[in-house]
Amino acid sequence: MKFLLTSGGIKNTSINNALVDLLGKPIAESNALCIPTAIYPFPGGPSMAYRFISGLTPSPMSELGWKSLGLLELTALPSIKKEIWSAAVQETDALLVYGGDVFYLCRWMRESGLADVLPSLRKTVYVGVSAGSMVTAPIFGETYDDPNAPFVIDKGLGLVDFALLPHVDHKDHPESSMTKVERMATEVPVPTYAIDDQTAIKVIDSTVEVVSEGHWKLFTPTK
Amino acid sequence: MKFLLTSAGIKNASIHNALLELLGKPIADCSALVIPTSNHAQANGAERAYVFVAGQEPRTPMAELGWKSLGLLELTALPSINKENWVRWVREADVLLVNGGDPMYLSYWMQQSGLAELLPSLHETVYVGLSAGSMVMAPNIGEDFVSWKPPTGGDKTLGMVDFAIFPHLDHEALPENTMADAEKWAASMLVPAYAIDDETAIKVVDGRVEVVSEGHWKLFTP
Repeated sequence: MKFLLTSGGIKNTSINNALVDLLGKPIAESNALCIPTAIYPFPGGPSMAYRFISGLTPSPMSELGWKSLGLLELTALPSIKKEIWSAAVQETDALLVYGGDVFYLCRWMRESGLADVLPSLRKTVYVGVSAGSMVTAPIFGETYDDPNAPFVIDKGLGLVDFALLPHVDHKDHPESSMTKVERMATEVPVPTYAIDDQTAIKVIDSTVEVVSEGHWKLFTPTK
Repeated sequence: MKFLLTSAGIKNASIHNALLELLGKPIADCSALVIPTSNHAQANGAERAYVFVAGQEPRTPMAELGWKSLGLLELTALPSINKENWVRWVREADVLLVNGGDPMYLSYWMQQSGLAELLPSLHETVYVGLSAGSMVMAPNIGEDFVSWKPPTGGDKTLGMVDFAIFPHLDHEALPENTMADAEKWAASMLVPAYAIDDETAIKVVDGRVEVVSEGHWKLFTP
């Protein structure tokens, strides 16, 4: 599995080029599956899920000109035959994992069985947005947009060996100012990348590369 | 709840007009929720669900009609999210657009999600079904249409209308959907059964049933 972990989707040319590089072919020749599951618990969940699928969010993902797209619904997987969804997952070039509630996404990644399958998909590119990126870490935190909330920590999927804090200095995410993110990062026992919406982390075979037209910072644990 | 039970969506002017009449206002003033759940149990379901939600399946027009707003309501997710939230989303919608796919899977999740229980209380809401999305409103669908099997077995569905539906009558891509097949299917049904082609829909308001068609259809009575 190759990873492109973004904060705000394929926001700029550098991130787009990184995606094409990971796919190894043009987007127009690549198939993708959209996973909207993380957004459902949010207040505007249905509308945001629709917009993600239809390519109408500020985080470019499904509108990039894919050869074909599908909707992979994690909450449905336990009640359908594994052959059906496993075939869809094996055949796809990319998984586009939308953001939302990282706890909810992590739970359904596990309960759906998808988390167990992911490591075996050598060629597939996992593209995350926000919570869709955070969930791949060994550990994640969340403040749910409240700058005063304690920084909750839980175990993630551990598909990569660093943590990610998205939306740094985003005007709609006051909880993610670099100062606050720095404080959160001290609670995280693994290397932590704080990235803004113009930045993404590219991972192939554990080689980590930051792709950015914005700003970002790597925090390494001291203890 | 008002019903527009179609075989293949809003295919022609007559079905479109029936929809407008049920909504009581222009489509551009209505908010809709799309329900792709039925697709998930099908081979190739991911792609079908996608094109349905994105309004990219011109053979079965639904999401692309020009709604004021659209949302994706995923039935399999409802048991794991806050009920107050999703009940509010459903109450605020003018119309539910329910895609076809696997009828027993859809019926199962309509019940498991709690949505089936809520529907009868939505007097003004329009339920627009497409194929399996229409069939599940019948008391049962007939064994011929059972693919995904519910834990309890059988072919019993939601029974919100008192007739059954055989969709895609004489469809060129479905050789098992001829009038002769429909007749055989109907013979096993204990309720009135409509065989409808893709240019036909069944409109139901307060238990009054009206067939809207620019194609052909047949009513079989037990």
